[in-house]
Amino acid sequence: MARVVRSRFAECMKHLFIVLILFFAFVPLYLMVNISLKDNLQFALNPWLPSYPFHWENYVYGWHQIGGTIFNTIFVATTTTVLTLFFAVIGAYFFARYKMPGSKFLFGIFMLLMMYPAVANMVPMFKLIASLGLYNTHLSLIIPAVAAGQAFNIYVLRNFIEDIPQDLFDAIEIDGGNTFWQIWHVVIPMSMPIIGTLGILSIIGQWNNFVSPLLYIRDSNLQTIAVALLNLEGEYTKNWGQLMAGYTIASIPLIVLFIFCMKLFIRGLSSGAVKG
Amino acid sequence: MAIEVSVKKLRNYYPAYFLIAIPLFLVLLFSYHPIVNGFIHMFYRWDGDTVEEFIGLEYMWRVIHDSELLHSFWVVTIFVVANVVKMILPILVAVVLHHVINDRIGYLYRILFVVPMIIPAMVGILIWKYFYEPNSGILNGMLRAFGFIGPTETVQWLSDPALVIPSLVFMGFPWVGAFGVLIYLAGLQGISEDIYEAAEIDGAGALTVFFKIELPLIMTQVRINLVLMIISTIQSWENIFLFLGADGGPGGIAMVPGLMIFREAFSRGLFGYGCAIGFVIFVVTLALTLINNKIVRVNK
Amino acid sequence: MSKNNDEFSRNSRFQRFGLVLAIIFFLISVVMVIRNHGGTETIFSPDTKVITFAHWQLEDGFREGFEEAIKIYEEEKARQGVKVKVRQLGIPIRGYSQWLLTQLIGGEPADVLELTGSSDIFNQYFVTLSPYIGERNPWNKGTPLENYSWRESFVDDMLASLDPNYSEFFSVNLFMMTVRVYANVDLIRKATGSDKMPDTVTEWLEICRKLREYGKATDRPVIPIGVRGFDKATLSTLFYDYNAQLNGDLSDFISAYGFGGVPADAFEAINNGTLDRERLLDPVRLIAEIGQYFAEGFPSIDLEQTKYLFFSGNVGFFIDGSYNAWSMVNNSPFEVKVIRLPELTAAHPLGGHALGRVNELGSGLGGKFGIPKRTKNFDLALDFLRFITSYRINQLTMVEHSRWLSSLKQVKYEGFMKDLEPITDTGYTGANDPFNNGGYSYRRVLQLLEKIIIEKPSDPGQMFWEGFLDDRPILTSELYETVLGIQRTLWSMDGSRSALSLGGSNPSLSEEERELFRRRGGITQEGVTGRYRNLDDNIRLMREVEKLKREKN
Repeated sequence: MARVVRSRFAECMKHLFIVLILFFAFVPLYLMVNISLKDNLQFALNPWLPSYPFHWENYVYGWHQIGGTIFNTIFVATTTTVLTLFFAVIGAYFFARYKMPGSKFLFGIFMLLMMYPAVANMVPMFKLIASLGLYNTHLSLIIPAVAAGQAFNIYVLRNFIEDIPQDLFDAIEIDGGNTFWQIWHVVIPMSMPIIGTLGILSIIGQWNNFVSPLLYIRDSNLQTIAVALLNLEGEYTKNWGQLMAGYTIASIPLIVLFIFCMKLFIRGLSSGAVKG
Repeated sequence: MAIEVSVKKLRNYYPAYFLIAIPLFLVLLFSYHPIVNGFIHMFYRWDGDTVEEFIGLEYMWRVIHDSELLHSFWVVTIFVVANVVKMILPILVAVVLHHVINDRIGYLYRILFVVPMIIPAMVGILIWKYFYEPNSGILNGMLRAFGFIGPTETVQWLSDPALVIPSLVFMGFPWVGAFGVLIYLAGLQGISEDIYEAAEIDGAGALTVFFKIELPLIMTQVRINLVLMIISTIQSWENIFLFLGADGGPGGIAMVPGLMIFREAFSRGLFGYGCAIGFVIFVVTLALTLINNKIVRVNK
Repeated sequence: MSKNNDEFSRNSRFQRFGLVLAIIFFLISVVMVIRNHGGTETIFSPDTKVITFAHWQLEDGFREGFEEAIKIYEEEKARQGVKVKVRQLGIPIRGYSQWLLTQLIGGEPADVLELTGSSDIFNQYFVTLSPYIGERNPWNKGTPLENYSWRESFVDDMLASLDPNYSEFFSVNLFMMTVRVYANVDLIRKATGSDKMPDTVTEWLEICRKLREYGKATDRPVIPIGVRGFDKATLSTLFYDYNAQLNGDLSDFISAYGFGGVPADAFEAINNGTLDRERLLDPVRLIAEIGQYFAEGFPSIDLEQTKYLFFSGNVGFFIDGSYNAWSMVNNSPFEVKVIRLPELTAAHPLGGHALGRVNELGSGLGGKFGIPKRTKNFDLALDFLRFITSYRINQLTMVEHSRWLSSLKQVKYEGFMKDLEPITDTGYTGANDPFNNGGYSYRRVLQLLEKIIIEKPSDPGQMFWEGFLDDRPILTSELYETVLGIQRTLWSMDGSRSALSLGGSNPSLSEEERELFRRRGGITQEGVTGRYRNLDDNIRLMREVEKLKREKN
């Protein structure tokens, strides 16, 4: 009996701990939504608590400013993510499954990339994109991002693929499976949780990235949401309610996406398949 | 268990190289081409465009003697150490999440941890700036309410040279970016029930289970996170730029190397010198990663 | 077990729904993107010229004003039989300089751009407007400015657009800014018992003192002077203004060239013993005194936070440009008065030889717009630039929509904007501050001022002087880079000068084109002279700064 009580207490402590952490993690989200319903004066006088009247028109303005960019952003973020992961899974499979002559050197080539600070080569990068004729096209956002994403994603995926038990590959090989058969039937199902996580990260990264679209996209009908959000801020005057309403609108598609995908990725993981 | 392919067996296995042909091409064109361009230009006085004047090792010499750069590496070291400490909380969260008995609630928590990740980084920065604001910010407000400081006193979190770095370190509390939590969880979920059952039969307590079973088994993930964290911390500059401006706060107290590149190149037009600093960052990051891989060995 | 299966199938149905939803959205986005991409070509038929107009002014009204102006422009041009489409591009200020530099270097710039950066960048990438400013602005027909040349139609005869280093006009200004003090009348009334606004520095400091006492007595966190500290704008403004009030006449007697208060001249005079350096340090002492009434922790408070503090009713005075006036007056829940920066008079110990308020005419022009050399539509870009600086359109975009001051002559203001009009009835315009060599070393000077205000030393002037001497290596290395830049430019200008004179006598060109070359060549000649002077100044400054002595005289 005592044991049950103790474990119930322990269970409560676990919940308390998580709820406390979650509380702090949610403060920015709360403030974003809260401020999005204020005008500047309400924000100045009371930024922390809701105040009446609610200014729903902030959302109308926010939508007017950023609504047109949402589909561009979905297209860029999704295409980039799918392509990045497609190449990275195959690349990681190569490095995890084969020890070819030169494997280490090639892996080094990918990994060295992560060590170089991107801010140092912004100008050469722009010149390259302009000379390839990618300026002011969505390809200027997708292709360099796919290239830049390889290092990180291969690095993470390789570790996971190496941990997949040899028996599973053997079983497939007996069935006569070739490389892509193996990737489709063993690697992808086994590393679904990590692919999901990487996918989420990639989509968020693309969603929030404003540096490359700001530099490489000129036409406003091709622009992405992050730049449209930046345009809600004036240098001399800022309207906080409209700004936060814009950010809130921009977050909604991501929230919807994750409500569905979390099930796919976290729950879909068959327990005990990926062994350390 | 990788397939060892010797040079002799290459005849049968060479098609495997095609697996990485496309990514390799992309990386060489879109990453190495600009980087090599940057490497070359650290030997030039370069305005990013037409002025290219070969000056040999002058910038390298200056980099070595740049006391501001040295200071900036010291600052970034503090941030790296702080970030190592900050890694503890996500590990704890992941372990606790993994142990929540009620599946439904545990699942709900997982979703909830992802949701804050969606908040645009700019929102976080705007809100933290208000948190630290000396006159009406929430932090000083709380200190006043609890009587730590008088009603008209202020603590200057982002302008007192002694407090700037601690304030930046604390920023982002509770530091549970969902990436860490999810990646540990994915690792933890790979631990089979048998191991837990065995541990239970041995009568191991929660702490023992954590240190003897869980922590060693998620070391792969910890190492991944450690390497990524070190790399991103050394290269980071955006937060400091947005919080303290291009000069790195009062007296440049919080100047970091990445911000120096930005300032030298875009504010002062010395792109060549920016490239030289970029090279130093590259060498330092590489060295740290190699050391990290040697020290944090994974015992399987 | 069956329950689990149930849940599993429900989950997978849920997931499948999510997946289908994701695919649908992706497909819609593909369709939309194809439409957007295609749209660019179909909307603009091949004979339609497209020009892009880019700026960082994202304030309320600015973009809306230009949307309207662009519509008028496109209609007007259509009437003239020219199909034009103008795209407006607002880029946030935070990334603007980076954005601009990358576009200019990469060779894909917009056609009409807001300028930021150094003279060298302007010279390298922007077309000089010098040959065109003597002509009338065709868009001024039928307005009070009809008979003025383009240059004369500006409130300062385009003085602010003249690049002193190259003697060229790379840009024209869209609006004018004056510095004003926004006063919280309610708070001042409560603290002093009167509505009287300060006119002199002495009165101002007295009211500040009363505000502080009032705050202590009522336990309210009252801040006498709100400061825009993060970008050091307030500090820089005050230092500039009071230096001019104290030392505006300096260049009259120390400048070797007879104009401009140049740092090299000032330090040379100090080294010769003909100038007391204490005079240069008096503005520092004044700022240190005023700074005691700044908000605590001001170096980290940005404009937004200061406005937030102001609107919460606890700030007495807030100093900022006229561009903020509308949002200060309009958003505040209490009465706000817009006053001029107080005058330093003999009533203050430092005011013995003060010169009075600074003449603001032409000192605060902002929004420099120019045309990059790599534009593909120079003629249209120039036409559009003239259009947006024409009498009617400039008032439409600036005064009516943005509620800013226009940069043009003959503009009449109403209501609160009357308080913003520049001071024109005093003698001295702004003076160059000997410690301001632009660039990074000036940021260090402002940091030093911050430190002085925070640490409250017994002699702020002395501490400033010591700190300035300590920073000499930074100043010298910056000057060295500048000198190299000037030398390079002189080299290339020499080449361009010969090319221009050749162009001026080239018989295959039309007379009109040859005239443009000749006019341009003349101005470039001035530019070369200006450059030599600049080179001389910088080399002298490096030498004189090295010679400065540490010990107090």
